[in-house]
Amino acid sequence: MIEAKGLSKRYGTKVAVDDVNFTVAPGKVTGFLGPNGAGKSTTMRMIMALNTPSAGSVTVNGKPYAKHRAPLGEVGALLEAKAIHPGRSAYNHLRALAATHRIPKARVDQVIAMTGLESVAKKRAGGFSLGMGQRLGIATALLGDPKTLILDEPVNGLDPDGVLWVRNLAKFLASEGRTVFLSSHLMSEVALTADHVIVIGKGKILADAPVSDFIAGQSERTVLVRTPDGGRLAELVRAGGATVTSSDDGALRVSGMDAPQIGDLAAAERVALHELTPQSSTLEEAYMALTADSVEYQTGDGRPGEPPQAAPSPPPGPESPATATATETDEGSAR
Amino acid sequence: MSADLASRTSHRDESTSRQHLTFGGAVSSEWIKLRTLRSTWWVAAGTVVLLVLIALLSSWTFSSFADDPEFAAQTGGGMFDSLELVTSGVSFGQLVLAVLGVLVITNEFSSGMIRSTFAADPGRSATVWAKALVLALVSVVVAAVGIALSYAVAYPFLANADMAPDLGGDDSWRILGGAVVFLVLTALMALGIGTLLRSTAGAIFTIVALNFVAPPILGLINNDIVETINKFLPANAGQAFMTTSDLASGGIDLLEPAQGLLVAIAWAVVPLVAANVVIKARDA
Repeated sequence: MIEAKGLSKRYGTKVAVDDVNFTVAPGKVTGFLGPNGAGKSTTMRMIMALNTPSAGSVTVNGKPYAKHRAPLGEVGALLEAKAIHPGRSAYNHLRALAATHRIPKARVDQVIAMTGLESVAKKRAGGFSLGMGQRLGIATALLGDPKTLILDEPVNGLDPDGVLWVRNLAKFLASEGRTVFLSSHLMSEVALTADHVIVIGKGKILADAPVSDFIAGQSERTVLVRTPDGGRLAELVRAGGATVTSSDDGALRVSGMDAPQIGDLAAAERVALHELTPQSSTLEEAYMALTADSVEYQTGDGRPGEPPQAAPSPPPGPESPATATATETDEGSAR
Repeated sequence: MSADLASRTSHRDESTSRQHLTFGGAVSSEWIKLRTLRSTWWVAAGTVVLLVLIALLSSWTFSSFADDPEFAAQTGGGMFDSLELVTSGVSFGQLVLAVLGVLVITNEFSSGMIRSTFAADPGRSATVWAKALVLALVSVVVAAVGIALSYAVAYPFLANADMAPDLGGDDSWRILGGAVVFLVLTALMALGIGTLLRSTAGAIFTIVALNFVAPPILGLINNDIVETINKFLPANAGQAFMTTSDLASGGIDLLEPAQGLLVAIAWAVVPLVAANVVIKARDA
């Protein structure tokens, strides 16, 4: 159980986390979703008492992390892949951390086996690949058999097998009644792993809901309509309570009315239709729509392993951000 | 997979209450960290080699020229206590040992290891004092081995020149023990400064400036205030309790031995206490 109340963090004038309130419940995987720079890592570091909040508080299992007698038994954290000295072996790294809590050597061997590091455990960690580093980070997190796990971007750098393994591990740990809090900037990853999702953008919580509700709530259904008489049809559907946006190529995008309704309306009013296509926005689009306004770094910089970021920047204009995004997110034609 | 994981994820039986953070645990953790880095062994060996090498060279030089009137004139007719030749490597040995003291903490900051360390010890004080304790113990051993070997190596030369060091003298153990104490205190000061500055280069630069550059420069300035400041610098405070002859003191006014010891202890303890305060307030 993690509880944040009014949690804020400022670095100079920049607000990284802004008066955030949330609860992460045990027994399920909670995804912490947001674009890079949204405040995910800062929040997780405050939970771990690595960074001091500028305001507010956060507790783990009822107490601030630093007040626990056995911190490693409360929270295991993967905060970044290589929080390790490059000259020390994985085995010695784990032994040193285990020693603080008198955790026996047998447990060190156990977490090494669990994370598949047996063959490299005695080698210097400086030579580890990103994926090996992630596995060692997860081994470190599991060391104290903690009630709560905090995993910051755990699948970064893992091969497909490793990704699957992390998903199963996270679900399994939650099924044992543990609290699992897992961050990602990939909606698809969270959708596959998490039961609950907290979305953060520019330091503010944008959504906090079960994953299924989040998808239903965010994926607004629209209908793509092409007609030679666009002005008239737009009037008609607006009169019927729907909203209409038009794309660059003259097509209309209608929301709040389904395809049969639009077709019937057009037939009744004798408006010719050239196309009538129901569009369901994907989960990724729902996430983009929600966070588009809060993306820290607006240019798609082609980071490997990241899907191409569709239409990131709504032009600042009189429209509301959500509408603007819906208009721009048009099969990638905006860019 | 689930059954497999189930048998492996959880190792706690009923005995979890035994596994909690303790100072003793922090100490053994720091000992594991220190001994599992190659740099520790290189620096420790380097300290010993330097102590011995300089003792060898200075005792050889002084024993060769002890009877030379020209040489005596150059040194103002004064002479070192032969044990001061045994401990003459301290001036450079301290610098190498200080590198160890600095690295104990700065390598954690530069590698990111510090976050793992602080996640295990979110209070952070146990880490600071455990590091200090382990560093002190390692430094005692390194310094004692270095000084003992220096004695063994220097003895034949000094004995040859009729300057055989006498372990039964009034000040013998003050000189030898003082050298060990000074080396340990310097390592601890380095740990404190390293923790405060979080940078290997910055901390080593500071220590070189404090122990090597400042004393001779301040020694050139003929001013009461500057002379007083100079007396209180760590290197000169150390000279006050680990040397007996005027020659070893470099001709400057030193504190009384007991005062010097207290000042040197303060130079080790004050940065550590400050580090312990600052490290808790800073984001890792």
